[in-house]
Amino acid sequence: MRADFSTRRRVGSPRLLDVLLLALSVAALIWSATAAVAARRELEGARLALQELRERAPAEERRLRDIESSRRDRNDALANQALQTLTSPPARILSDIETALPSGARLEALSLTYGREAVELEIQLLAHSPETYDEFVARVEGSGRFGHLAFGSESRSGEMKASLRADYRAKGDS
Amino acid sequence: MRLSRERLVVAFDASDVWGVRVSRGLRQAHLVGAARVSLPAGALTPSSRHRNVLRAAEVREALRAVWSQLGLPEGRRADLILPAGVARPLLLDASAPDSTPERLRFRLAATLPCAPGEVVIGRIRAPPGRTLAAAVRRSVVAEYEAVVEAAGLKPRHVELAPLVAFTGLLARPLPARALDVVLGENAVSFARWERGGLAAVRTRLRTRTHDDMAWLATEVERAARVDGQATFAAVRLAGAGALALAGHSRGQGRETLLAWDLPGSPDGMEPSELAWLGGVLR
Repeated sequence: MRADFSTRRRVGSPRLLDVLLLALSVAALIWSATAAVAARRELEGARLALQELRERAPAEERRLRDIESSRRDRNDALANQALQTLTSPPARILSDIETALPSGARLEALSLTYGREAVELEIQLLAHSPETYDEFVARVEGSGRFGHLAFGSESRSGEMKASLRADYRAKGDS
Repeated sequence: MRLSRERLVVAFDASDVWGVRVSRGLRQAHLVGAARVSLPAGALTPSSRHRNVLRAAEVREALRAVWSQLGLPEGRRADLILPAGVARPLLLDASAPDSTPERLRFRLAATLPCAPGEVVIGRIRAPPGRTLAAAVRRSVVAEYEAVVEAAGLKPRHVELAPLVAFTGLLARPLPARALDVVLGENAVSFARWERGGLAAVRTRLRTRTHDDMAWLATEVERAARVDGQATFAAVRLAGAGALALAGHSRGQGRETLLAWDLPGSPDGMEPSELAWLGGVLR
């Protein structure tokens, strides 16, 4: 151990070991710089990808919600249709319509559309007279099973032809 | 790139300047060349408090004469050895809490009349668990560096003669109750050995106004006194006046050793008169 009292910063002749260490340090520095640049590029790429994902995320989320919603609606509709088919079978609807028909009227055509809440009916009727048709309408309204009545074309010359739209609900449906 | 392991050392004292070329081998260093040039009286006065290089031109000329004798071109790097008297070495416990560099600086600065920031400290290991440390005023070190630079060399390491001497002395331990005396022209250090290492170090300014040998003999007795009894095994001497003091001591029946000998030393060189030589050649 040497006690050195020098007041000056020395610039001594470099030893071989110093030169080797310096070369190693420079190599390490270059390697570090290269690695840092590569890492920075990678980071930039990742940042851009992340930004793109962030921008796409709301749209994707909406699309997912729509898909979910539409699937749910479709499922609900199918389930309701199945339920309507069970609670309001065509035979029963036909039976209820025939019950409301006065003796001077007959059913010419009937189409059924099973919807979510009710069965949509399109009824074509041939009545002996307008009064008979009116009586049918009164019975339909009074039965409590038909709603949202919409009157279509009417022909009141002699025999009366008329069309009628209505919703059908099985008894006990709310 | 420095492939040569040769080192140039310049050592100052009040009356002369030494330049030695030392080559370091695998096992130890050896002397390649040595030159001594006397200084005019008063040109350089080793002191811890005052200016040391009082007549710089004369010191510079002496240094140039040394380079010339050694056959050295200008611009070579040189290690400097400052004389005894520019600092007061202290033996400190290296394991003590105050051995941190800053505390060491604070403690050693108390040996000088200046702020801790104005001193340069240095230390050597003094096993077991001790350190021999000294503080030198920065301005004093700068004086020596400046004069060497003005003489055409580049100052490198700066060492202190007593610490360099103890580097060599500690490598050759003495038995318990023996005494090492390191002599400079302006100061002298006494180190008492106990089993396992140095026990105490004391430094005194060396005044030449009275009987120098009698004063030194008295100081040796005082330094060796343990529990009031001057019972010491041997005294080993190195530095300016070592030969004369050895004669005086032997005359008093003391076992007296000279610190180092150098077979085949150059003409005009008395190895034991150069306190720093043993440390430089380690």
